[in-house]
Amino acid sequence: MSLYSLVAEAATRTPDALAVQDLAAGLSYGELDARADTYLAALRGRGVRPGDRVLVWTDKTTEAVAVAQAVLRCGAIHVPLPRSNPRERVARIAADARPALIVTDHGDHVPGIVCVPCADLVQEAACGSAAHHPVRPSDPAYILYTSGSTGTPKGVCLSHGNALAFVDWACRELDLTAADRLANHAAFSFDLSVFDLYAAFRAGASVHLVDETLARSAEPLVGFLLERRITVWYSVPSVLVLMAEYGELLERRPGALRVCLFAGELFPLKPLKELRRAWPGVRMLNWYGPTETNVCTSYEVTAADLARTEAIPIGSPVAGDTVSLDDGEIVVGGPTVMLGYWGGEQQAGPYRTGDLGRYDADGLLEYRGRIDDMAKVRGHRIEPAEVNSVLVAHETVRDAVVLVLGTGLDARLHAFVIPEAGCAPDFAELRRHCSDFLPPYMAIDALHTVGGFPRTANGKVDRAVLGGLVTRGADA
Amino acid sequence: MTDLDRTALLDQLLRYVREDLATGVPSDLITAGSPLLELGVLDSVRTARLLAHIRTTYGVRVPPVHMTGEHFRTLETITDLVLLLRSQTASL
Repeated sequence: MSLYSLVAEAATRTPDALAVQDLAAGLSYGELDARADTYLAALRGRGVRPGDRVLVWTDKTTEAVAVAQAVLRCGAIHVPLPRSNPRERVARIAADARPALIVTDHGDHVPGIVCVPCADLVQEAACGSAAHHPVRPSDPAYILYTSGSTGTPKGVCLSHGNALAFVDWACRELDLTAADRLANHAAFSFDLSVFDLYAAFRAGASVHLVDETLARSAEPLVGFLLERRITVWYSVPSVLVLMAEYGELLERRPGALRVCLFAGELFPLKPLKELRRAWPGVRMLNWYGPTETNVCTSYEVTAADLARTEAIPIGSPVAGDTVSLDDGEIVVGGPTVMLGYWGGEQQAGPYRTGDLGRYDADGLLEYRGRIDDMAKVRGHRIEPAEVNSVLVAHETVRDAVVLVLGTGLDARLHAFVIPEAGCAPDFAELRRHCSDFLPPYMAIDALHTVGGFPRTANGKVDRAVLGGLVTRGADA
Repeated sequence: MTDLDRTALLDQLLRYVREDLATGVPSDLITAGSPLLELGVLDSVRTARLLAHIRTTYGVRVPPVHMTGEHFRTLETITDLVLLLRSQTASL
């Protein structure tokens, strides 16, 4: 069993059933299977071999999904990167992943690495073989690059078996069938998409891709949910809050929706209860897990939670994992735990998440924050150090500290900078500088120029005091 | 509303984004052709408010299929989208 055999098997069972649809086009399982083989032959023709990495730097399209299937069929490792990642960041990730090639759907390219548009690959297919390379469950399938605390993105490497352990559990838990229609809201580089794509393929269901621009628009997103008759939705909570606040999500009824899943950040209690009350017929599950383990705990939100006065728990272990607390830190072991960081040591034993937890009165796990500086903005994981390193590379900035202030929809990335002598850092200029090196969600939202940073007794930057400057409205 | 010409619409949208959307971006940087995502003008909340403004002022709902990076790159492309959607509504 592998992540590519799911599509091949569904194509044998139900070749005419819809597999994947983007805003422009759809592919049946038979078509997706054939398209994947076309790309497979082309990748082989280009010299891609088992174990090679292939960066797929594209919009969210059916073609990108077919390319991903082809990479896996090749025995190679899929590295998805959203189109919105600027060239400089793609280059940094490429320097780490050392890919055989980069597949694109645009004219942009990274110097020194072969970049091939999908359309060109299709033309080249005749020359290569389309035999599927056999893979073992422990073979790496994909690398998801996430923000790195050392200032450069780090690649979380996961195997076919890692993904399948989670997907198998999820399909059973949710009773997914070929009749289901899953939305894919998250970017392909975000672990939420592993569920959307591979759980759909395992069930022979269809998955409906949400373009990056559509993904952050409230009202059209509600329109999408209803028009596509989505039965299973999965996103970060802030997207559901956005849809409720600006897209009349509750007023317009859930349509065909039967399951609503969320993960990646805390769901604020008030909008969660409103959603729970508005959708009595929809199962709602709060999932938890860092990219390194995918989902490892689950909590089902029921009518009983309407009486709650505090945040919902993240629940209990799933997918065969064991989850424990060590000195308050959440530690995860089991089949979904990553192989390791790309280029680093193999992960040996359980993974220490850096998340803090505790058990509630019912023995369910609660999330209590981080042990380090890692922050979330609308579910996106951000290491402030990565943004810092980009800011200090700008000629007007001598030193910088980045903080996330506010929660949910109001979370904002604030930069506190000490200028170089005689310089006056400019917000718009630094924002543009960020967007040259970082994905859009990591660009700063506000700039505060300071003469120095407040320090704690042991000399570390006092982030609480810095944050207080903003919340008190007293910009230095 | 009828016969809204492109220049007038672009002007109105530009004024709305500069004056009412509270982007935190200096208004002289927001022009007809400036890249809205890179500048940080259109985050999710401001996109939602802009869409609500377009719906109530011009009677146009943007269907999901038109929510693309191409259509929302600049105020010029948004203007063209609104005109396109209005002409489609009018011809129904």
